[in-house]
Amino acid sequence: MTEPFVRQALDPARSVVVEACAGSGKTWLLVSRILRILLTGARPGDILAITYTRKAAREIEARLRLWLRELARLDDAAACAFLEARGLDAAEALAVLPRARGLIETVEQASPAITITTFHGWFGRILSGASLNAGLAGFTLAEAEGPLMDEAWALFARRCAEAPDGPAAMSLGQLYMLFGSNNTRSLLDAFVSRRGEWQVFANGALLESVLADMHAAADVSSDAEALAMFFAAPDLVARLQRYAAHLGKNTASDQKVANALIDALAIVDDAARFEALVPVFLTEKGTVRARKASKAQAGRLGEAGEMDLLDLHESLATVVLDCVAARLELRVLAFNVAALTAGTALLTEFEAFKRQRRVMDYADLEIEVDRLLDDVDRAPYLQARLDARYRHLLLDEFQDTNPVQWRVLLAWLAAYEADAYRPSIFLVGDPKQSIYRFRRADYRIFNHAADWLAAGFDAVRLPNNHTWRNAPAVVEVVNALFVKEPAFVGFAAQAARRTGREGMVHLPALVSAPELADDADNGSLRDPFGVARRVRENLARRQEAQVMVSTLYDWVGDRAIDGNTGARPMQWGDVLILTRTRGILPEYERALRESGVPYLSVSRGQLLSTLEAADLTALLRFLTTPSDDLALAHCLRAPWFDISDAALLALAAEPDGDWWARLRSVAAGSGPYAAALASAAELLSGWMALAAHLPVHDLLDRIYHQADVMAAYRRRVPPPMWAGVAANLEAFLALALSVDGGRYPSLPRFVDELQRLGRAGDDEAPDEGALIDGASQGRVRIMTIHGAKGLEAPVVWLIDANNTHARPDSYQPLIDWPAGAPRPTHFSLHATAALAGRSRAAIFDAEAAARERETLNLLYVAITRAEQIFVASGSEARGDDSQTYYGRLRRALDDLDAGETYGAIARIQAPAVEAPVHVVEAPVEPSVTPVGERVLAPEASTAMDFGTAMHALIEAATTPGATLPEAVDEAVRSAAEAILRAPDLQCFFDAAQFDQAYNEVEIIDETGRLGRIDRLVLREADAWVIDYKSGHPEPQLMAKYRQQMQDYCRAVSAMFPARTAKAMLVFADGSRERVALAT
Amino acid sequence: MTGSGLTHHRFAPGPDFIDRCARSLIDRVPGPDLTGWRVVVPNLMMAPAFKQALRRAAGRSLLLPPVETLQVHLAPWAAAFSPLSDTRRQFALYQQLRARGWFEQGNLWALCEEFIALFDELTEQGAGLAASEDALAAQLAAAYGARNTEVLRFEAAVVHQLWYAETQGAPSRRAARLLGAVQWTATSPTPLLVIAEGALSAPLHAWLQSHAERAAVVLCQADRSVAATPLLSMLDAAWPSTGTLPLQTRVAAVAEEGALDARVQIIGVDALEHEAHTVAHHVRKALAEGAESIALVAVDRMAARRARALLERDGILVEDESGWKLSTTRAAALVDVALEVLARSAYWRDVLDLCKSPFVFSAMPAEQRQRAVLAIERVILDEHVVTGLAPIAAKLSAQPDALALISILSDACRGFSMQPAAPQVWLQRLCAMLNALDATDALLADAAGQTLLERFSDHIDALHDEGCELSFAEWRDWLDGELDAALFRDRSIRSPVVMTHLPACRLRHFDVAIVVGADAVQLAAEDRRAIFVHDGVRQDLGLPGRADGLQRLRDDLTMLIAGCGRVVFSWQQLRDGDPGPLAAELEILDLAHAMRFGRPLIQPAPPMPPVHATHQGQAVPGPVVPRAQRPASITAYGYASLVSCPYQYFARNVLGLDEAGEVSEAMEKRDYGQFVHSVLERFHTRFPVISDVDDDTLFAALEAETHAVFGERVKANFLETAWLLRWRKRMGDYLAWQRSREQSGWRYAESERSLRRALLLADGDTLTLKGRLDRIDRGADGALAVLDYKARDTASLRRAVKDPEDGQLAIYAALMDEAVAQAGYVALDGDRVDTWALDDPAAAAAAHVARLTDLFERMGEGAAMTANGVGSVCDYCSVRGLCRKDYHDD
Ligand code: SF4
Repeated sequence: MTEPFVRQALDPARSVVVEACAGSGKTWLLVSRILRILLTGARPGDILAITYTRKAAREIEARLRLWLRELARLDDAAACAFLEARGLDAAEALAVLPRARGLIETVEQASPAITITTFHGWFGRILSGASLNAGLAGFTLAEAEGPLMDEAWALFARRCAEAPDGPAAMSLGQLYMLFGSNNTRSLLDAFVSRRGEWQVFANGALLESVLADMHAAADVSSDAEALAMFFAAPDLVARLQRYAAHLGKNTASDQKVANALIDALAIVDDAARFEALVPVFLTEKGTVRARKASKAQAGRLGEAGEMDLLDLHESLATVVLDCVAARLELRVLAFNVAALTAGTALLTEFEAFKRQRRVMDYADLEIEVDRLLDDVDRAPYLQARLDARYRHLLLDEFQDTNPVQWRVLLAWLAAYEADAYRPSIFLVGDPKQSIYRFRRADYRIFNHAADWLAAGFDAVRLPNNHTWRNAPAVVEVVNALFVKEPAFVGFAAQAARRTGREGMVHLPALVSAPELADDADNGSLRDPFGVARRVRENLARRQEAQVMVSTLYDWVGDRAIDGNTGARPMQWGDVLILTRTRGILPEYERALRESGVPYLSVSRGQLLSTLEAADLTALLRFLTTPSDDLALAHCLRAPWFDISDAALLALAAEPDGDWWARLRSVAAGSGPYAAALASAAELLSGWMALAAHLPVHDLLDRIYHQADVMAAYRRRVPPPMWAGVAANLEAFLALALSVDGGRYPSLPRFVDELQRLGRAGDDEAPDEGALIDGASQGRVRIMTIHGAKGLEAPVVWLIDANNTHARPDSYQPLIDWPAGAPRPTHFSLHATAALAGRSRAAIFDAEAAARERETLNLLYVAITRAEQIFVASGSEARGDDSQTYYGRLRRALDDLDAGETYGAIARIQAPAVEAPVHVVEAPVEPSVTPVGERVLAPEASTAMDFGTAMHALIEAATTPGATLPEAVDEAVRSAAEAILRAPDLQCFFDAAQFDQAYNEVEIIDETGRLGRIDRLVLREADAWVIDYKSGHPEPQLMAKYRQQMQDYCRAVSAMFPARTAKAMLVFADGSRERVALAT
Repeated sequence: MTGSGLTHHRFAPGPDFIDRCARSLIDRVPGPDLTGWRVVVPNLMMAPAFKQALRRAAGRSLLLPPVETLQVHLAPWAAAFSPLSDTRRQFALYQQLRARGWFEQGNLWALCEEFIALFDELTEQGAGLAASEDALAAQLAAAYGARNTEVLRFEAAVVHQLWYAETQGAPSRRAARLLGAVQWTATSPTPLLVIAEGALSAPLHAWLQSHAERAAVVLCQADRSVAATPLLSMLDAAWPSTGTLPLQTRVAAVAEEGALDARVQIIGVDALEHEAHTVAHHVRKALAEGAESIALVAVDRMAARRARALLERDGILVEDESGWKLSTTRAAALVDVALEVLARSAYWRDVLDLCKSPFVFSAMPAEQRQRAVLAIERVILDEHVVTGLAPIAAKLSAQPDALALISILSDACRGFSMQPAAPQVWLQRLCAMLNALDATDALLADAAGQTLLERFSDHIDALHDEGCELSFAEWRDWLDGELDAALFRDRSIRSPVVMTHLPACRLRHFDVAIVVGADAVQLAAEDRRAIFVHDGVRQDLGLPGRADGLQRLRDDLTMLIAGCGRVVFSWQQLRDGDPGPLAAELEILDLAHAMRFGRPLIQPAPPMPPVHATHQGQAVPGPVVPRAQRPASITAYGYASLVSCPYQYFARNVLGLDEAGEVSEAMEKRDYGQFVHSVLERFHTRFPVISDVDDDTLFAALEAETHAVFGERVKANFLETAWLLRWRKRMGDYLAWQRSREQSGWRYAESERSLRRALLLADGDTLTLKGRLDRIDRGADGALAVLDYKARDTASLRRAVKDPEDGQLAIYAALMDEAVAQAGYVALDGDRVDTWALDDPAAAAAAHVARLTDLFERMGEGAAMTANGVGSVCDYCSVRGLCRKDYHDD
């Protein structure tokens, strides 16, 4: 990074906007700036840094901590150099050095602490500080919206059923008629999930008034009016008749049209008449029918006639189109009214339900914070209360900010004004890498914010188009490609910092998929036993994957990669495979597997959709419902039992009973499978018994252990999949811990929860087990482009790059929120293209442009992951493939006069040395003998209760000043009194008769043994140990009692050497036993 | 006995701390009789060790003084002030909050908890609030450096009013304790030895001082700033209690013996499982080295629990000192599901969950009960009972056991009144319900269950005259909180390996302590206060702030390291894939150590134990079906399965395994298809021919049949209207289609006809082809058409009839014993109703029958039923678990 750039960007006193291209070192810059701020002596609590993901926030923290640690330890020269690299001059560096060294402690102990978080994290913090004000006390954060929505729908249904003729129910019915149930649900769910924008848009207005505005904006208010206006046009009929007259002279088919037109004009009903007119001018698709001049036609109609016909055709078609459009607008309006009516009603239920359960979801965080800060008094109060008047704001990945977040930021900043100081703001991002439109990110906010900061904060704007990552060849392709994309507004050519790095961009020829998918070759039907069905798409992917594998095989060990210490041969671990969607991966993974390429699919899907999770689920399901035959068969086939199909056939051959009964009966027999099945049956019975009482996690742990589950899978799972499967098996245990370790665990509930989670959306369903970094060493990684954001690799291969399939945005709110506007200027609902309507065309165009832009952004992100080699492959598309990634790259390479490859990577002589995959030896576990014992909890026996009560009573009665326990059982009282009143014992109870007495005294003897003496009396030359027993002497206990008394005596005589220790067991029945000290 | 006066010792924490405390008492008391003293220990866990220390110090046997926590000592004194129990206090505050209506939407119970915590803190610190709301608001404004706005005044008003109300009535237990302490001093001041793990709160200190005026008081306070050893000076250098010297300077002064690497290890692990294995490894290692006491300090309960399970595999039992929330026990789960059954009108999942609880219906023998429960489950699934017990009971007349269980359950529910009531009444209702469910004895036999029931009955006693009326929902919220707050401790294990928590380790000795979950989030200074978050405000009010929390944490860690032979910290470097930083204090300790000694404390973790197994692969299944087990009949559906994947057919039709039924809570597409079939069947029974009937009549008839078929479902769930409307939208189209069909000569003949046809196989067996035809039409010339209604759109059906793999229509054609002129699908969904028919039904029928026969013959000859499905067939395959396709190597 250039010196002036660094100096400016890191100057804590000034606000800065950095637009930094991929690979330019954004995190370095951000953390350096935090460091520089801290060096000015700012309180850590004055700093707020917001980034887009929790992961990024953690990384920034980790980097900061690492640097602060370094600063504390490095010698002076190195520490100064470190600081100078971050924009300080030598003198400044030296001056701040002492402070720099102490920063790690300052930061770690600060109160309030430095805040490095995501928008959500920050919002949560604001809300927690507002709990007394916002009425949000005691709310918890729900992980996912799905289950809440389900409940809301159920409540909504009930509400509709109560008032089937009410507006909500009627509207819902209309939507059902128009779109069916799934689409209606999608539409209204999407509305609810965009409730934040809706509320900002409505700005407190009631639905009625929003709808009234919509009605007012419509050109016509009813279909009848639209038609009436159409027909009311002066001389319309005359012109139609003239038009018909021309047609009547024209071709035979035109004559038919003329007749139809004349007939149509005779129709009385406006709507029907109009419908009949439409086909005259418009095609079925709604476009104007072609009508051209021709010699023959001119001959038939005369020059002027033809001219008139064409003029009439055009002008009449235009008014027809206008009327069609006006009528369509009404339909759009009508469905919007219905959707908003139903949608807001659903929203009401949704909010009420959440309120009742006192949960919020992530979207609510944003909404609530927005609402809170909207109050001019409250925002400054909150800042104060939270001790959060940040003086330095750092906003990372700003291109992914959404309009509501920006609104919140503005409100937060507005709250400062009263205090008359202005924080420094550092904003960094890259609009080219904005790829979260589906999370409502709007890349245009970046530019808006930059202008706003320039105006209000004197922020300088510093572009950084220098990449440390990509080789020049890659950068040149990036430049060639994106310079020509008009949608890629604001793109400036980039430059590579590592000018010497070799690089290339490679576009292997598209594979052509075999034309026919399914075949009745030569007319006969396929033999299903011998031949699998052939599916076109799979075949194409397979071929593409084979090209990829063979190319990679050529390169690995042969191409020179720019390593940390000079050139080295390419390894499998250098390769990153990127995809747009996860769904297509299995085909490619299969190819990698078959050719023995070590890989790791880092794009992990949902845990519960994996086979291993399904196996465990089936097992648990069987344990709760032993009659579930399929579940039983499934877990018999799972690796831990590994029962063969032949054995299953034997079970199927059993005459009757469910499979659990059959399993036990075959296992008990002597057939060929009895042994294998018997051990399965035994384990299952054991687990079934455990399942009733053990928590799910503990049950699973037993299962893992007893069935050696890990080893069983290792035997069966293809080696490249092993790391993932092992992680999933662990993740399943963790899931059991977290789901079942929560409140109210039961196995059936856990199984239900698994089923629910398995169907839940991506945001809620548990992810597959995370793979630890070490596991990827030496393996090709596979990721989605979204997942690869922020990563890099020497070789990046984008698969399926010629896919023309694009999913239309449908059944969603259509929102126009100009960047920087306080609220959306438009909010309506969009169903399908047919119901788009003319008046919203501009917004749809803008949406399309934003989508196009994001598509390009994704491509930009994909290419710029590549340090040296970027490859895109795909198969021939059926449609227009000029706008696919491959198509665009192809044009760029053409512009660079390149064929399949642009640039080159040298070959290398050295033999490939693969980094070994994880070879650290596990320590030999010391063998230990079991420790610990299970003791039965002492049964609360009545005898013991009785004894305790009696002791308590005697103790109270013999302790001066103690109050006697009330409500004592009569039997207890009489037993106690039998002792207290016994004449022979008065010498121990009457204070006049002894020197000293102790009740319930605890003693310890020389060996450390503890004991408790009921009453110890020092009297004359004796020390008496008295022990009360509630019953009568029971012979089998006496030996134990005596032993105890002797032990006490021994201890007592050691304490009171001048006295003789004597002991007596006192029974409530009047018997006494003197215990002599055995010598 | 020596005279009055306060002797204040500050001892460095460490293994000899407790001996020095003991010595300070023995030095004061000449004889063996210590009973005149009272000893206060900070936690009960250290009492046994202290008694031993006394004996060591005295070198003889002793009459011991009572050694208790201050709370226990004070209990009888405090009782005299009749304090309000915490529960009563909770209800009092709740009523206040509810009555004032400040927080309509808020969780009042959670707020109660927060206020109680604040008030207790104020009491404990001897702090109070400003005299008036306005004064408090002004105080807050000053501390916040903010304007005194409406919002701020609101906060002040809320806190102040509640605090005022709280201080009016009977004292809280904490307040009563302080009152009791004073009373104790006044009436019978016994000499005291107080062992404190840190500085005492101001009120306590003041009390001790006044006590000391009347009796001897020895205060032994652990104070790490008394850096008595190199070890402590190292720890103090890293975590100074005072001073501002730079770290570098501080560590430079530490002696060589202050090196910690022999006794402290900080281990970064990859993830949960790795952490558990690491912890287990260290426990085993410690045991093998002869450790006699090992503490698992469970900062991360989840990882500790996981580790405990691993240890139990080896027979290493772990004693649980800290206990679990009662709400996480199975016994509490029973309570919850019972209430859920009431709250959700016997929703089927709740009913099954309840019935499967190990505690209920204990009067019935286990085997018998299990069978009865399965019978109930089957009825629920077969009859699609979504809610309610009556519909289940109605189908169980033939199964007396199951019926008995359901009646017990419905009686129990009926006996439970949902009328608002005071909490103790609700608890009585609950106990009665558990009793009615035959669960009481089983719960009593379970340790957690016993705790639960005892707690209920304690509450019922203590609350006997509580007047706070609660609705069912309010009470349940309270109960949830109650079960979360109550602890259950499994006391059945005695072991040298103890699971505990950090504060419980204070001033105790373990040979080895393993701190599980030492990351920055979990091992952090306590810092979660909802009401006064601002540190300045806390300072103003005299409450401990974040700095105090930090010191407390540092004290705890110092005591742990100084008091234990060896301490291992583990933390997950990755959490859900994100980097997880090490606890800040440990990071600094490690840095300090590295600076001074050049050696880090952070060490790599042992790798996960390897999984020993060699890859054998997962063969693609291709079982051979013995002729005896070859199915004797097949449907079109089965045939489709056979051709798309023979193994799928094998599993489903040869083994006879199919998905267990599911209660369909919402209508799905196939239900919809079924419903429309019924409507059409009923309609055509009335109107086989419609040509001479007017539209109005037909519409009315269709509408009536539709209503008859869909009505129930729509009534049960309004959202099913969607399906009804979906069909209604097609009605006009359908009639038009039917009319045009009649115009081209076709007449409706019959519907839902079951057919079979015997196919003779070459091996002499017969294969029966079976099918149920949606509809049969006759042409004017007697020609025959078979039609299949599909709730699909025309485009997909157009593809289907062209697809040679789609044999359904061909099979239907083959089922007719006369020539079929037309075999087609009728699209009842999508944009229009239309027919798509096979080009040559006869040829298709012949070809598919030939293929079917051939496949069955080969099956009989031992052809392998290979798993070779592709694409969507596999995606929706119900027997994927048997096939194991995901692991096939190919
Ligand atoms: S998963 Fe695929 S291959 Fe396996 S049985 Fe099912 S359809 Fe056949």
